[in-house]
Amino acid sequence: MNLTSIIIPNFNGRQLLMDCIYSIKQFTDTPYEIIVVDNGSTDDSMDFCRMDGITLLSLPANKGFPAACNLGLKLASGDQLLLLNNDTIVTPNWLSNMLDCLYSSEDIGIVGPTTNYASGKQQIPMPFSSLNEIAEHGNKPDKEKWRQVERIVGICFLFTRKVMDRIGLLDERFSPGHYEDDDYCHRARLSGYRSMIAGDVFIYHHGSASFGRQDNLKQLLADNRQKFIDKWSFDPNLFI
Amino acid sequence: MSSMRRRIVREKAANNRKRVKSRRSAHTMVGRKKWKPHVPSRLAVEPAVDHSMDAWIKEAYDAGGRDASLHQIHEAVDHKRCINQYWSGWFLSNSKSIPWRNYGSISNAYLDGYSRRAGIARPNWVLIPTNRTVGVIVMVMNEEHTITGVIEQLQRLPLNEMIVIVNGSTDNSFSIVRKISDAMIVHYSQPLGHDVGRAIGANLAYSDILLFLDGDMPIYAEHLVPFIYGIEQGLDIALNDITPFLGVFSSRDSVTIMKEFINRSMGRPDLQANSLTAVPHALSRKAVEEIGCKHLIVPPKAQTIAIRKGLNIGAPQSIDVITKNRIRDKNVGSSNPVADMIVGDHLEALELAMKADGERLALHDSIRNRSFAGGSGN
Amino acid sequence: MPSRKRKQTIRRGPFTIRNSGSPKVSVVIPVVNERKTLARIIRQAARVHPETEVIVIANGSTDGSGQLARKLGARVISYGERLGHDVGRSIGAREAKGEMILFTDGDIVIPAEQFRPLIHAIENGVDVALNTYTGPIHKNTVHSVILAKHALNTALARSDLSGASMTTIPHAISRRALHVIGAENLTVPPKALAIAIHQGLNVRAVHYIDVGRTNPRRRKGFKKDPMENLIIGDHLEALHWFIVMTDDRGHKSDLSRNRDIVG
Repeated sequence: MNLTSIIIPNFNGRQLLMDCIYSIKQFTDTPYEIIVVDNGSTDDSMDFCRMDGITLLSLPANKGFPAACNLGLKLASGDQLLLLNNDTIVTPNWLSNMLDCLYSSEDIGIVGPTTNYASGKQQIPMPFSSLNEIAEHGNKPDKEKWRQVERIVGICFLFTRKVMDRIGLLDERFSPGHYEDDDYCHRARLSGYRSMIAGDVFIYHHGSASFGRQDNLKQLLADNRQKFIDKWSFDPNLFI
Repeated sequence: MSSMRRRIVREKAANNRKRVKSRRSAHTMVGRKKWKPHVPSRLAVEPAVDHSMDAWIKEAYDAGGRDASLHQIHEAVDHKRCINQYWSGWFLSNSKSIPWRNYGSISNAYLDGYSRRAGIARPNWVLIPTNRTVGVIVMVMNEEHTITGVIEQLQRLPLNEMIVIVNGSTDNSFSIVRKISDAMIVHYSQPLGHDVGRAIGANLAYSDILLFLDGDMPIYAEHLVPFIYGIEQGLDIALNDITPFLGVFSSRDSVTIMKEFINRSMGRPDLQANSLTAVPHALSRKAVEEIGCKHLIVPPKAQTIAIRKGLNIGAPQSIDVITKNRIRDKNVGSSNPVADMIVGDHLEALELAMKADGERLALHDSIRNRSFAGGSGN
Repeated sequence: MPSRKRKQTIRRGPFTIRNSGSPKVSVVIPVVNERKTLARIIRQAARVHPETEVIVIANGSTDGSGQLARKLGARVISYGERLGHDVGRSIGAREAKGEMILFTDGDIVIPAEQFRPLIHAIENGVDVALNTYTGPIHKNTVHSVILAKHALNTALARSDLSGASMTTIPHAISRRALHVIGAENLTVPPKALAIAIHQGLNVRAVHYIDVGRTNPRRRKGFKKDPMENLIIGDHLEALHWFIVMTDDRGHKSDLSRNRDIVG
């Protein structure tokens, strides 16, 4: 019973969350469970989850991305885990293609898709001009499009339970977010696991950052990059 | 009167005498007395029993005042936990001399002294005698009428975490908990089945001492303290002692019989009919790890594993959860699916023990010569 | 053991019994050393039914119980050594010719009137007719054996039987029950009961016979009563059999717990 646990942290993103979950329901043809970890939303995100029957872990306040993900990971019972931003829209075959890539080799631990908005190698220009077009034509399985990278962004981050059992959860020193994905990929690599981009999967990312205004974001990125360097003694941006 | 009736009358009389005696003997780790909940100091407090209690009350009051002036506790982010650190430091260093039955009055005195000196309103808190992290896991289905009372009592305790598992709820339980507390709430729209919530909560929790409660029965914070103290003092499992609320054996139900049977079969007759099946109870982190969260789903199995692993199990507190349940009924009647389920749980537990220790749990038959009976005898 | 050749004829008199050639009821009485009570017991047993045979299984007797029983007219099967509890029941059951088999012990005299309700029940379709005696249960702490009996009945979904048991005498079984249970399984009485119930026999607690006054099982003054452990072990063996025959929950539903949700 190969179940994927999809963990979606959320903070006041009701509409985004609804669209995201709707697309998951539409386009996922392998067994999955959704766990929304709500970071103290004050909109009706939680009402939506409850009414839609989606498992909800409600936190009293915003604990940031890594802490929220970790709680969702503890709750998850799937054989593989997937961290997903709430401001994404998934596409047909998205998960089955990614799973094919994930399990194509014993030493692959982490897989991510291509997307229109992400730092690093996963970003590609939108292949189609509308979501409808993606729905009709997108994501034909093609393993030639898989390629190894050093780092996958946390926007859509699929990994095996084996990896989690081996290296643990996200490092919460990177709260509220950024570079915990770099850190995780690095730890996986140290344990002998490769990270891959499943180039035959494209998902849409709105890119509405949940971390506040631009200058705050800049400071956060700088702080966390430094934390990474303090931890590992090299610059994570080398792998982006 | 027939000879049978005469025998019954004689037995009842003898056992009534014995029962009163056994209630008075204290063979638990900490006293069984339930304190009255805190009343504001302008109303009557328990009169001082003896000189040493007076002295301790004064000491505690002074200690509270001292800590208020020495440390900026009331500016701490978590005021309640901060003051509890100071309290438990003081209490634990004096605990050998402080009679446990006076814990309530003495901890109240500390808080009185503290709030007086700090110049703040006397908070309605209940201090706990431990420096270890404490979490509470509350199981909820449709409890909108009782959950507020449950949560309000828990909020009087200096907890590190509160985890509420809501499953299969069709009422306002979730919204109420979200509104009135800082709990982490896990909401499943489908019912998960009995006791699954405990396992989920234990899996999420990080605290060293975990208390398990149901959302349908508010319990005074004071009455929860002995469970916490039991773990602090070295228990791995602190059960609720329901013995005082059970009638004579002939009046007991199937579930109670199975609980007592499995305790005796596992070599723990002292546990009588006390069981992880019932809440409230507390577990140490060690217990959670040794038993495994998954096994908490079938409580008798968890208890059997704990006994086999030599964990410390005791019943330091007696809270009457029985009378209310009796009234609430789901568990009466000849065909009672929940009771049957619990009986089945006990069979699972026995099966686990038998797999390890043999079908007779090491009570070998060395007396009979079975070959004469024919067949293999087994 | 010294033996003197004697004529095998039984001298009949007013105090001897006459076993029926084609008995309806076989009364099985395992005996070690019971000279004091045996004569009365055998006489009462013989009166249970017009067509009765009394079978005494003398094992390890050193007081001549076997010879006494033979002299009184019972069928006697002798063993030089003690066989242990309840083994005699299996042997007697195998030897029994009656359609109904009544089990009792050699140390407690029970009037025939007290046996008859058990026999009547068998005649009316009951397969296993038990004594309703449970031992002292109107107290807070009961003997472990009493607890075990109640627990077994609960597990077998027969809490209506309360603490009735095939460990306790007297009880009676039909020939059909003997066939279904198997004579060898009568050696472990709780297991015999589990088999009877699980295989759908008609098992009832029929009549109260007070066997508490001189309970042969309880030896006062022993700190660790080996009998107690034996009987509890028997009940565990019975439970194990039941679990193997059903599933690890005795076929009791766990009301759809979602067990996979925790890793």
